[in-house]
Amino acid sequence: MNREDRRIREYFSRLQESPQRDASQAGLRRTIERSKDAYCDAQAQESLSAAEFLYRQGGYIRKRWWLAQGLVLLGLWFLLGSADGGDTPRRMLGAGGPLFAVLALPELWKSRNANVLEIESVSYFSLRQIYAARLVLFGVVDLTLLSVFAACTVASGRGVLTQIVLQFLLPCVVTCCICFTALYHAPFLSEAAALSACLVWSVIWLQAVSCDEIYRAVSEPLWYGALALASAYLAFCIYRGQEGCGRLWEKAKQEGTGGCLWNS
Amino acid sequence: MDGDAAVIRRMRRGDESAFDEFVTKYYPAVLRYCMAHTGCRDDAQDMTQETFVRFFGSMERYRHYGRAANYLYRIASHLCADRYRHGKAMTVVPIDSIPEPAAPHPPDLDELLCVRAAIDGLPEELRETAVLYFMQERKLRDIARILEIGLPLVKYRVRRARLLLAERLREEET
Repeated sequence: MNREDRRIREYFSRLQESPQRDASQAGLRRTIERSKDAYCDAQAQESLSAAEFLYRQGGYIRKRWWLAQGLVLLGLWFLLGSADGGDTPRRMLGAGGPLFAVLALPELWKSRNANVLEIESVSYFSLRQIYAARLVLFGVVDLTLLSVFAACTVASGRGVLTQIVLQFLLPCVVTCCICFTALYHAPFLSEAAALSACLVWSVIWLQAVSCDEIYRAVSEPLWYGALALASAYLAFCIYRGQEGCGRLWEKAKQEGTGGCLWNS
Repeated sequence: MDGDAAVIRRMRRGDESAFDEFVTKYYPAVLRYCMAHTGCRDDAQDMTQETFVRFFGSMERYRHYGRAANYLYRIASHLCADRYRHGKAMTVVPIDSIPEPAAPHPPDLDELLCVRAAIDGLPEELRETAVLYFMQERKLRDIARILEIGLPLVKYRVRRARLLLAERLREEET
């Protein structure tokens, strides 16, 4: 820095040292308060992008169920490796499919079990958006897990794709149909009842695939047709459920009878 | 990661103490900068407050690259420029309304007034650069970022401001 600069800076510093130019503490406190208000106002006006909304909803989902689903698929993969052929892989996949689907039940039923529907319905985002976000997240994660499982199983020679689609995916989709029907369209059913229905279905399916006569009597196109039908029903079920999200369900305790009130 | 980055992250998470910390750190510097432009403490406080309000109002869009002070100076610079454009460089009050000072005038009042006049006498773009360089002691690169101009232009303006200020202060001394 040259002499001229030093001189000028000295003049400027005297300007700043003037006792009437101290930073006012009151001004500082006022500025801090107004700054906080400005930030809060700006936050209130900012709306989340779709990705941010999904990310935040993802934060509320307990990851242990996804972990459990992953472990089911991993266990299934190992078991398929040690299977001795015959109808054993069929039974394993048939048991794994419904199990994979019911592990999503706790998170999907969480809001109803905790009676938070009323709170969610008055949140900044609509119920439909919240539930749609949860379904999208579950769909994406489950699809990823299933794709990895299918790829690893086929690549390692432990199964063929058609086997996975018919033996695993079909019972899985039907289980999802039962779950969503119970969740959206049968308010009188509890989570335990839905789970029991899924278990009954699982037993029926295992019985059907274990019996060669029944299994071979149904041709492959028919199995694919059943899968398509189940998938279509699942999509319809979810769509109707999302449409009806605006209804609040209250359980009213009536003397000795119990009952449900529907508020539309 | 510099300290400001951590404070800004805390502010985005809603930590109120981070707001206190950030404003307390930069308030004096921004106030000095606004004082250099306005010459009036009340106006400078208002502009300082407005600077921080605008900063926090647009904080969601702010991307921290290590120079939060530069961004604050940029906002303050625009506010000061708007102020000058609307002819509010100095707050003029009738002399009869000014009360007698409780304390005697500082002995270097004349000198302070000379410095003030020298700053005000500079063209707007030179005054801006002079305040940032000589008073706020910002680096040339920082000044370039704050004023959104090239480094050669900053160097030119500093040279010109130095010449003019030195000339005027020399005149006042004689």
